[in-house]
Amino acid sequence: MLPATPADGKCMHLFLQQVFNGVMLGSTYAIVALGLTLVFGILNVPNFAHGHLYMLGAYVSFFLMTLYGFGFWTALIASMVILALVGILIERVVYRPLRDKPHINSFISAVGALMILETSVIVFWGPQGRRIPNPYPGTVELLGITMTYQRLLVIMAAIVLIALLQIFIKKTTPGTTIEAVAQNREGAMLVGVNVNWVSSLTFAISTATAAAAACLVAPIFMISPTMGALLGMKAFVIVILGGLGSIPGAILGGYILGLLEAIGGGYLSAAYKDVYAFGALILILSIRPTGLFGREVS
Amino acid sequence: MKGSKRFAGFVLFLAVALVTVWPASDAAAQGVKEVVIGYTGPISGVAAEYGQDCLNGIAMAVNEINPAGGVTIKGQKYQFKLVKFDDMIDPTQAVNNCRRFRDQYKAPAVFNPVFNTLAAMAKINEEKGNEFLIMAYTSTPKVIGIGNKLLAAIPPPFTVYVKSFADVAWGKGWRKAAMVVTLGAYGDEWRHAFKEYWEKKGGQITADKPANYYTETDFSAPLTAALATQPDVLLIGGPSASTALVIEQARGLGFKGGFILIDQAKMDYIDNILKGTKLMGNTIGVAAVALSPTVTAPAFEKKYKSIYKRMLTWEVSLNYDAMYALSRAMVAAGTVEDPIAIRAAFPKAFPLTGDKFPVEYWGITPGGRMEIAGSVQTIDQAGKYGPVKLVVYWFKTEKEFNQFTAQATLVGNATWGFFKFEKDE
Repeated sequence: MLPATPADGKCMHLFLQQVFNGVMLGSTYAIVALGLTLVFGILNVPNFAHGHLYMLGAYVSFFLMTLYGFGFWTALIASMVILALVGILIERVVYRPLRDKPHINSFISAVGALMILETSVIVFWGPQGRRIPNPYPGTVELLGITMTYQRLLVIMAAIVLIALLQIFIKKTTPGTTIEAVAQNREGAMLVGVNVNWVSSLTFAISTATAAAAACLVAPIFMISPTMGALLGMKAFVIVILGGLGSIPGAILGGYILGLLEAIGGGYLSAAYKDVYAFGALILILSIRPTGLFGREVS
Repeated sequence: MKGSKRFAGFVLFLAVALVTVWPASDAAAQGVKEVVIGYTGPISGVAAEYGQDCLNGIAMAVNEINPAGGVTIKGQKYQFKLVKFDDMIDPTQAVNNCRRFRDQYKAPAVFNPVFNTLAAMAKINEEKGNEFLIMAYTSTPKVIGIGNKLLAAIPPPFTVYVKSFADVAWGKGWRKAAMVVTLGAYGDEWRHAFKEYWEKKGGQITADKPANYYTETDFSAPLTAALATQPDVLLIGGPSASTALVIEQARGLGFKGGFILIDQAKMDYIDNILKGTKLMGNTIGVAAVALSPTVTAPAFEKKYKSIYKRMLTWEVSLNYDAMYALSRAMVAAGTVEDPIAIRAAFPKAFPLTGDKFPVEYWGITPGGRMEIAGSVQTIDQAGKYGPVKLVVYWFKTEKEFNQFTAQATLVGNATWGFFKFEKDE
């Protein structure tokens, strides 16, 4: 429990605790939104199934750990690899045939994909929630805030993951081709970039990061067939909030939303937690229609 | 000309083939008629697991009653057929499902496990000529307050638990309580009822931070706010799985006090999720259903697990019993079609005793709640389960209660408790 200090100190501790809660929540939001902004902003594919791929990542990791005795980290890596393959498959089967078709087509098939994913999980594994055993139980107290190791781990891992992704996109050749396609598709094709290959790569990264986020928070929360639905929606909010296709926008947007929910939920009421996310979206878009980091579209 | 002849021949062939191949149903062949029992509830979406458990209980009873010969009324044999529709807790969908049950299947009774949908169903089930009986799996007292004449409520009213739990908590010396309870009509009523009773006893509610147990998995924000008020005990609960997370997260935030679980959350289920009672020290809640003090309970649990490969829950046992009560009421009423007569015959369906049923039912209150004791249990500081206390609420006097306990038998070290309720809840 929070130490019984004088009123001022107590308020400060309470605030810091809520900030910690928010940063933890924001870390998962940021990773999931990052993957979404890559495919949505760069490939222009509205992947509504993103949240459900996140859910699938958690299930893969769960079964690897419980059925095949994988450790937490090996299961996480394996789940990222498997989900990367699933991502490539979905891009190839669901989205690529619709690339030059009207936008509404890929919207509809995205909704179809998410329904198939959720229903298959219910049919094969049942509607009940499942638990991944917590690899790092225990708590630590710092500056008067109590935190569990697993929550600290989520925050750290998110930072590492975001940094790695940034290095990949900015410093490696495959990464720069993604950016090239994002900036100018025809131009990239002219200089010999294989756009199909880039699409596959982007999807693979996007779903793999979603799987990583799901595996990281799974021991804290619970995995269920519906765990991705609301998160997927929120990821869209974050992507729009941060500016379409903007990576820093997705990261910042993720943390902002996490903090907003924690502080709003703690000080006002948790009953309206989802209202904060969508309220912020409306507010920010009315002031900056392109989002926080969005480029003007001509 | 030749073509049309050939066509006519083909049609004739088809007709003959259809008649010969058409599957003559077993029931019809033996002069047995079929009665459809409806189930509308969450089969997909956030409450799918809860809905599935309720459905399993009804299905298990139907699958026992039919092979045993079904029900016989005035020499006519009937078999039950359970038809399920998903409503995802949407009242409009639930009402549409009920209309389908009535129009398409002539179902005399429909089961549903959520108060929000039940309230909507109760608006249409008394329409003249389209009556159907509602089998309501909800502990909300308001469901009796509706005053619906064609409704039977299955679980005990949660007010039994409000009082029992608060009394146990009070006895432990706890005075400051904070609430982080699930949102929605049911959770709201629980909070209000608890607050009222707790404050009447002289206790204090230090924080009231409801949260959405159906969509959220992170409860650290409301918990942090509630724990900042330094409560002795937290009133929490919603679906069991999320409640387990709340317990874990509260302990993760350093909370050392006790928990009171509202009746939707079940201790045995949470224990299973958290892999033991290590985090559940000083918890008051509904007793584990497997510990129901009847001779049938252990065998029932074994049977359920072997058929459904799932943990036994209260939803299963009570809906199972309720399906039997319904079939007995039909026999007593001498009809499978007339919901009014079936409802009127309900008192004759009881008691369902422990030698045949996993949980005992004793009757039905005038308001329409089937009489079953509330099962109260505590987990002590060390994480050990205490004895089960069965709390009855339907007797008007202490004397009636004493007469009842003298003839009722309990298995193991369970005890009886009694509350007198002023009105039907």
